[in-house]
Amino acid sequence: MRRPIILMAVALLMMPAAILADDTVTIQMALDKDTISISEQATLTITVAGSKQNLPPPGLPDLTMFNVYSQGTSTNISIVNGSMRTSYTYQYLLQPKRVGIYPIGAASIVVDRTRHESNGLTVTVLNSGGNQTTPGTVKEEASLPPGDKDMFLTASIDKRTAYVNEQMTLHLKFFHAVQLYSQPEYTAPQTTDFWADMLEPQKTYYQKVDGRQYRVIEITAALFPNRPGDLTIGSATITATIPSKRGARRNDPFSLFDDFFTQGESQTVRSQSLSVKILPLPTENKPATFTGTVGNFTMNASVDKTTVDVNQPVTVTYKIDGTGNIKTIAEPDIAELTDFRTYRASADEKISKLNGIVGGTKIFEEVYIPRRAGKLTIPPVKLDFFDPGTKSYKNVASKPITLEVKPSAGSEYANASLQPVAGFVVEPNAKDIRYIKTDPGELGHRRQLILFTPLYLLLNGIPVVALGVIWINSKRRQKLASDVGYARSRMAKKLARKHLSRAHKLADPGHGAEFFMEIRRAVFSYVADKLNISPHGLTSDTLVDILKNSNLDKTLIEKAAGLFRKADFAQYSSAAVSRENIQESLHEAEELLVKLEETRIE
Amino acid sequence: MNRLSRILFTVVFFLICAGSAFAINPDSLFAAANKAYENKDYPAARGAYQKLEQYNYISAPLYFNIGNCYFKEGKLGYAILYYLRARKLDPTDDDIKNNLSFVRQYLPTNMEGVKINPATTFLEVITAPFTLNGIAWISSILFIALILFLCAVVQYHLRGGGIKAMGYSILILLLISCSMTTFKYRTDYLARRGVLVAAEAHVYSGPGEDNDLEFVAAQGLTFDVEKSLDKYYLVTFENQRKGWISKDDVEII
Repeated sequence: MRRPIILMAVALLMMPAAILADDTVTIQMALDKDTISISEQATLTITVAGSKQNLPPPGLPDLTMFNVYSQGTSTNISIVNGSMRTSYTYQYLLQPKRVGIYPIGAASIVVDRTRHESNGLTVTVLNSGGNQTTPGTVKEEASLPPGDKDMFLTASIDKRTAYVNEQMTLHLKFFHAVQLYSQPEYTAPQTTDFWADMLEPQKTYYQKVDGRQYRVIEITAALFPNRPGDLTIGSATITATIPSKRGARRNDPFSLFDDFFTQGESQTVRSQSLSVKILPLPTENKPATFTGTVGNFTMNASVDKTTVDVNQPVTVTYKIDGTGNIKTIAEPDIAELTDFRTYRASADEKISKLNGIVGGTKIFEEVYIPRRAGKLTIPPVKLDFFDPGTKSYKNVASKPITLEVKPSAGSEYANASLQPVAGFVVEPNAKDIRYIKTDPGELGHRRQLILFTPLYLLLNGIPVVALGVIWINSKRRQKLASDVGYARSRMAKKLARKHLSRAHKLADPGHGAEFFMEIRRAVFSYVADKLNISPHGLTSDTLVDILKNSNLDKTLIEKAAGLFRKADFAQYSSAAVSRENIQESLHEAEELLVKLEETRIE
Repeated sequence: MNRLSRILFTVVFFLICAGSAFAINPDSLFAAANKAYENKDYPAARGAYQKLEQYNYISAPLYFNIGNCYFKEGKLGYAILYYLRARKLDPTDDDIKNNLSFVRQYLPTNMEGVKINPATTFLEVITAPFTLNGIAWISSILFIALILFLCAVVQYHLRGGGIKAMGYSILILLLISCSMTTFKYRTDYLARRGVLVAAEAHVYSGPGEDNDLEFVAAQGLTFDVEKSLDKYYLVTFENQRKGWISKDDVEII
């Protein structure tokens, strides 16, 4: 256990030493091509590497037979096996001045008073003549303007006739023979009827036109026409600031400083527009399932597993490779299968632009879910395309895939794994849904919600009303039982009516005394009950005084006093009472009680 | 009989005859649908069941059988929809509960991070066996019982511990049943619940495809409808995720 720890400690201690230990400086020189024509250029790369930072730039060998243009420097720092190294790469463009074989001596660098030298090289310059062109596809170069222009822009296309969705390659070249004071502003050409894609980063090189040396920036784009007809690729423009051509002050001795102070002048150059003829895809022998794919493709299919349970998915990956507009390849048409349920899982694409040709890979993933057990076959999937190379329709197809599907027992979902779902319980041995109900039940129309129906509200409202009634009655009874005055007051009218009823029965001259006794009782008991006083101490005069205090009508009080006198007379004298007198007294008594009911007696 | 009367009579007679011709016998149509199901002709069976539905006939067995047909046709979203409709009419039916649970096992996705309110879950469990009308009647009976009990107490001056206990018992039962009724009413009638019936549906941040895609929901998932706007519903799924979904992809229970 202890030994590894010691080893690790030693390794950690040694690490800085290891980093510092590799202090060797290397310098290497390379050419991108050792044989060029007189009109071509070669790129010379000098790489200086060492453990120190800030290594000085290398001393160049004798390059007098070339025009030398610096292309810049790049730095790279790497740590390999604990050793840190810094490398500087210097690039120079060599433009030969004459034909011949020229040895290039070693480049050198001095570090810590030690001189390090690179390898030597040889360049062969041939007198092949002609302008440098982009190798390969450019067949048609636009005519170049005379070399008296400081900058110009050209456009060329590799073919003037193509089929719909066939690749065409557009080259845009920006020539400039003077220094640019600003970054060129590029406006791409109008390519409305094309699907366009930049092919590669812009290239920079030198080219002679009419004996004048130009620096060339080249942009290449792939164009896929999306409709037939005579189409136009619009003009591209580049705007840049170049030195002013005003030469009037050349005799001025201070004109030497013009370049330092001038802002230059802005110039815009425009490429010529290009006309192309786009042919429609031939209708002859066009497959019914053709969806517009143009190019040259191959197809293969792979499956993630070949043995599967019923209702378990398998994923088939269809991979389409080739050249052409990969983005426009339609999804393969997968027919409805009786043995499988299918759905699209995903689609992906990888575009390649190898040697200026657009192509790549398109991948479709299709999920197949077997419906039944047995040896099932996923049929081939076909892709139709038009090959512009042979000008004919072709097709590729995947191979059939055979699956071993394990047998099932029950429904089509029988073998699917059962997953518990929160809140629901399924019988552990359930293999299928429960069978339909043969009895339709109470098959009727949609029922009304009972909550807000009148019946429901009435049914719940009646008991509430009943409770209210019972409660009020109970309270009343309680008060009657506990408050004598209240009870007497509430019963006064009833009692008075009782006496009047009796008087009514005695309304006969033969019972005059009894009649008036009842009349007197009716009135006296009513007033006594209302005032909660004893009726026994009441006299006719006291009662008249009470009535006077109760704001009764004077006429009525007088009538009452007369009635009381008649009652006293009938009670205490033996004289007969006439029937008219009895009837009148009964009427007066009733009237008096009615008025008393309407009056608050105090 | 003048000319106008003759024309009127002819029209009325024609309408009566036409009505008789198109009238259906629900029981015989139900039986015919059952026969088609027996013969494993599920689309035909479903068509016959849904004919009854078109004539506004509803019953828990009818919805249950439609759900079965949809399941056999592989349309899980619709199967869930009809089982939920059946359960609404007959919450105690064991077959409905079983088939609903069974079909839910095959849903393509389970919502992740589902956070259901425990109180809501509890109320859902205890109200599940009842229909809204059923539980409303129970509440009504308990209310009337409480009122009658109070009437007796007032009228006959009933007193004592037993009487008080009985009163509180009825009151507590009434409060429970009223809460259940309110919950059931809210969830079954006030809240609009729906089921995703399309194989899958995009859920957007706003009502339209030009809004951000929030997530993709799969068939069979249920949700509450919060708002309706043009061709979209604002819905809340069980995991409380909200979004706008096309009305074409869903059905209201």
